[in-house]
Amino acid sequence: MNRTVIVLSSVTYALKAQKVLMANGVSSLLEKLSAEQTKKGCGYGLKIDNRNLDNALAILRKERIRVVKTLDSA
Amino acid sequence: MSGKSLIYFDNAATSYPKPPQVVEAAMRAFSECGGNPGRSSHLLSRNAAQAVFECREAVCELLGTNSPENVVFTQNTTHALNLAIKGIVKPGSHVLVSNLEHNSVIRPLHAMGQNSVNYSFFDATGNGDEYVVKSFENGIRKSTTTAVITLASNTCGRILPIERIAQICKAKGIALIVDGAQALGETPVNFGDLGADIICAPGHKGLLGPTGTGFLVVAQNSKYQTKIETLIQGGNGVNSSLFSMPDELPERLESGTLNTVGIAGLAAGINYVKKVGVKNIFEKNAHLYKRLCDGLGNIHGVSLYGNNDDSLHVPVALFNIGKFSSDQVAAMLDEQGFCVRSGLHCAPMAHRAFGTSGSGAVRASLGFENTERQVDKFLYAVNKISESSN
Repeated sequence: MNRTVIVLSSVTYALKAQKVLMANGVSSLLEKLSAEQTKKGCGYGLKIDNRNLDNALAILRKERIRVVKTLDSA
Repeated sequence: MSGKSLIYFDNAATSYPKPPQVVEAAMRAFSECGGNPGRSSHLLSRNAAQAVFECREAVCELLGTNSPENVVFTQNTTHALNLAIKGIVKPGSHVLVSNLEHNSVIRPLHAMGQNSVNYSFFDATGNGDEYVVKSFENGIRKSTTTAVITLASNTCGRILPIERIAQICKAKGIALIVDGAQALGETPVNFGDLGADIICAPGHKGLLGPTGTGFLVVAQNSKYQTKIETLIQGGNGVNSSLFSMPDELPERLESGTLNTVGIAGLAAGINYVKKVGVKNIFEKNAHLYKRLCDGLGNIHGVSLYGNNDDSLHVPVALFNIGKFSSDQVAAMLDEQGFCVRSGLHCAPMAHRAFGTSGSGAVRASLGFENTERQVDKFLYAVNKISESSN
């Protein structure tokens, strides 16, 4: 278990977050999330290596991009 | 299509021709972005979502903002204005609008009269910005919660002093919705400097995108980022197990499948406009517009409306010729290959102010592709029609 999914509120926020992270040297993968994962139905997130997670969350916080939650990913 | 050479002076209705880049981007979207944006996990859906997002960013760059999530795509400006007006105006409130407004503003407000929404007009046809600002101030009531004002008139091209009006709105707690239908791509607009809460615009006019595209943008840090009531509800790929719409823009106002092909074309149109430079477009068009208006003003029997003030204008000229109705003149010009628009241009109060509400007037609206020679040919044709009117 070495990757985490950062759940964003929509595909728009996910793409914005991905771009911001990329600009800061953090790569991520856009993923559609299942209803089980989001608990509210469809949603999008960014899959990211755990070693970059803290940095990524700090960047998103600084950019005021709301993270809905994080999920462990295989 | 006939083989006849056309001179297109109807850019205020929709711009023509579109740059080849727009056509290519739209065609590419058909093949590469064929999925539904924001719905599925496969490549074509992700490509579509990326294309839509890139257009949101292009809009932001054009307007000098940094919040692509505040860009809501619509079918056109009318759709955007309906979302904005019906989303923020509460029952019992008063809305102040200029008499240059399009029916896309007047008709929604009129329909909302059933919900105790009142509206009134202020005159924006007098001479100078100072007159317009005073006229706006005098129209404010205690119950005024919202103002909806065009940035540039679709009848006479006049640019209104929105920045000054926005300052008054801010001081009085009045929400300001701006109709940017004739302004974006025609005159430089920085949304932050403008000071409005929401701007509504088409993709298919000055931004040179396909028809069926438009958008609204909510200002950064505006309370309306989360407080707009939804006009349409439905699926958008977000929180699908909930029956209520999500709180956050843009998906809150974007139910149903987006026009990916059109939006991809719009992004190419915006990028084209940015590459040429809006300031360059404005200056080139101002030169052509002056040539057109000076020429029309010198033709005996031509009446020109709404351009005898000190204000800046986008290149839209309104006129009539002698005894002919505007429809007759448009038909005669069409016979000679000129595309113009006659009638009331969906702006009845403006025509009332100009004294042309009977049969309307002829509108010639220039675009970036137009040339001095085309203007001169047009003036020659108008002169001939005018001579035949005597």
